[in-house]
Formats: sequence, structure tokens, C-alpha cells
Amino acid sequence: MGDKNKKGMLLGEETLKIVVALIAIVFLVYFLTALYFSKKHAADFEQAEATLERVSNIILSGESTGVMGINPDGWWFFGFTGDEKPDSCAGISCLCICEKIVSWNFWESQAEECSKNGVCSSVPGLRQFNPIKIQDPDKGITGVFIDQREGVFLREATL
Amino acid sequence: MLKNNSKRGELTTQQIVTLVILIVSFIIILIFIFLLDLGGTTDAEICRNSVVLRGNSVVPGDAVGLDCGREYLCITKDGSCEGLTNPEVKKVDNLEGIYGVVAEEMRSCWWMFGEGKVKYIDDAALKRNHCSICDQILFDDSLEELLEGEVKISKDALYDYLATNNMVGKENTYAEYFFGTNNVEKLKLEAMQKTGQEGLGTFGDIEVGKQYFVVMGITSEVNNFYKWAGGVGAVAGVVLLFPASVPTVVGVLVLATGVTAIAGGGEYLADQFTQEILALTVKGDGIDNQFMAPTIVEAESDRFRALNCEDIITFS
Repeated sequence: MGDKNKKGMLLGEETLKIVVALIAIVFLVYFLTALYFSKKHAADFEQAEATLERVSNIILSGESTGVMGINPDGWWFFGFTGDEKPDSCAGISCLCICEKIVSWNFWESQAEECSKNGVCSSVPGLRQFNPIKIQDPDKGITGVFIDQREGVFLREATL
Repeated sequence: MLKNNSKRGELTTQQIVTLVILIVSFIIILIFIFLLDLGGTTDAEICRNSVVLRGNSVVPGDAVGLDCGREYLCITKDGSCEGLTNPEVKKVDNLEGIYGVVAEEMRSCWWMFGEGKVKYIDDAALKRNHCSICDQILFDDSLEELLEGEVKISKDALYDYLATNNMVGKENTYAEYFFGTNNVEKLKLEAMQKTGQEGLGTFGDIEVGKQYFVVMGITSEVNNFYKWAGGVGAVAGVVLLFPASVPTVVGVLVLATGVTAIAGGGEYLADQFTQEILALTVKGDGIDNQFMAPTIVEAESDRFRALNCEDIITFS
């Protein structure tokens, strides 16, 4: 009878302590991970802004040309010409650089991700293009070719 | 001895209850913080503080960054907002409600950027207009129900609202706060006289379903309000209206629009050439810079470009 009581105590109290410890560890891991990615995102965001400015200047010039050596790696070029656009596009077709959402992300659209965490610039006359991934420089220099013969169209250009 | 060690590691009922109370309290505090939208107020205050800090800084202005962002709002009747992904939703039940929301956003914008009393931009060799887009507002399609089928909201009526309604918790009107006068009709009349037009000018309309910027600005050089109007072919000159009062309206930004440029403008005569007043500029209070008082213009439109903003100092 006494043994049975002891087992019950162990199960109840020790389990509770383990659960509390696990919650604390999970919270700590989440906090540190969030801190790391926040810092990394800030650096990537600045690079994305600089890249978009380079691309926007070329679009403004009306020239059809390539832009090489673009950053940050792992981010994507998206063109939004349909109904749903990131907020800063103000309803105009626009070009964005942001991270791609995972395929099982059913609660957020790509436009929302670009709106919250990406950089965008309105580009009147933008034609829909396939998203372009900015590659890791170790795997080859990624570039985009801006074709402005009929509207504005972007395609990948790799060295 | 062994028994004592075991007891030391045990969690008592009191400890468990305390732990639960702490966790629940923390969650309740978090919910309150989100519900009260304390972050919204903080953003406005952070922006104003950065503007004031830059204005009073002894080092060049660029060394002190402005921390002012664009807010995304949706004014709607039914709560649906298809044009923006994650806006702050403002539900309204009547036209006054729409004007109230816009007026408050204009007031907030003017306050954040120092009410024309802070020189937060350095003088430069080239005269430049530095604009601040405080808000991007979507006027949702559902507002048509409030307008009895109309798709336009009169900005003239908005300015009348500014002139006849006191700011929340204050004893002066929005128009007094921005322009130093409630006489909007006189402002429009004198603006038109300066451009050689007869009759009253118009501030134009807001089209339901479109997005608009609440924008204000500062010009980086003294007596540089000509530059504000320099972006369009047909522009108004300078209107010196109230030389004694502060803030003093000193200029007007006008876009000359033919009837064809205004879709569905049934109220305009076919051969009439309309001058649309985009914004009014005011003289700084105690500083030489000119300011563009808060105005509302269609986002990324010709009218917005006509403001001739060479620099947008708010981040999006």
C-alpha cells in the first residue's frame, strides 16, 4: 500500500516538475532562436532594400539589362499583379523581395509575408513573372534580367 | 535523511497554486496590452520623439534617424477589407464617422511631425520637399451603402468637417490646428483668385474602393513653397492669406485637371477647367521652413506625384 502511494507521488510531482522544466527550456530555446533570426533578418532586410533600389533605378531608366551579384541569398523576387498585393503597393502592381512561405503555410499568403517582412516597390506595367530565388553565392552568382520591351518583365540570369 | 531530501524536492500545493496564478496573471496582462493597443500610441510617440530629437540635435540631422512608419488603415462599414492584407480596421456607420477617422489621422500626422514647430530637416544646397506618409487608408467598397450608391466622398465636406468640429478632448477645431483659421471657404476662394480662376476651388473627391495617403511635408529651405507647386504644368502661385496668425497659410498646391481627367465627374461642366486644391502650405511656427499641412491624396497617383515629394522620410 505504502509502495503504491510513493509511485503515485513520483508520477504526479516529478511529472509536473518535468513539464515545468520542459516549458522553461522550450521558451528559452524559442527566445534565443527568435533573437538570432531577428538579427539575421535585419541584416538581410537591409541587403534586400539595397538590391530593390538597384533594380528600381534600372526600371526607372527604362533600360533592358541585367543586375548581377544580388543579395540576400535565400530570399525571392516576387511580382504582384493580381488582386492580392502587399500593403505598401497601394493597389498598384509591384515588385517585392522577401522570403518564400512554406507550402504548408495555410494561414498566411505570400503577399502577407512580403507585406510584413519584405521590401516592395510599385512598378506600373509590371508583367507577371515566375518567382526568382536569390542563390547562395557559393552556388553561383544570381542575377536578374530586366526586360522592358513590353512592360516590365523579370527573369533569372545566372553566370 | 533520505526522507528529508525527498521533501525538499517536492512541490507543495501552495507552490503549484502560486505558479498557476502567476502564469494566468501574465496571460491576462498580455491580453490587456493587446486589447488596449498600447503599441499604437507608442509608435506615434516614438515617431514624435525622434522628430523632436532630430530637431534639437546639434549634430547634422542625418546622424539622428527618424523612426516613423506608415500605418495601414481600412475604413469600412461591414468589416471587410479586401485591398489590404493586415490593416487596422475602422468600422463606421455614417459619413461623419468617415470624416472623423480621417480627421484624427491628419491630426495625429501633424502632431507626430512637430505641428510646424520643429525643423527636422537640414538646409541643403538644393531645395527639396520631404514628405511623410503617415497613413495609407483603404476606403472599402462597403462604404457605398453609407453613401446611398455614390462612389465618391467629397473632400470639400471633409474640410468643412475640419472647420466645424473640435479635436477630441480639445477646444479648437482641426482646421484651426492645421491652418490657423476655420474659414475654409475663404481659403478656397483666395487660392483660386491667385490662380486666375473665378469662384471657389475644390479639394476634389475621395473614391470608394481606392487607397489614399495621409501625407504632410516640410521644405528644406526658407521661402521654398514655389517648389511644392513646381511638379505640375499648371500650378497656383503663392497665396498670402493670414500674415498675422500662426500657423499661417502661405501657399496652395493645385493640380489643374480637365474634366476628362476626373472619371465620372458629373458635377463638373463639360467645358470647365477645374483647379483641384491638393494641399495647403503653412509657414513654420518660429522657424523659417514651410510645411505642407496634412492632406489626403490618392496613393501612387498623378495627384500624389504633383506634390513633388523628392523624398519620403517615413518607412513603409
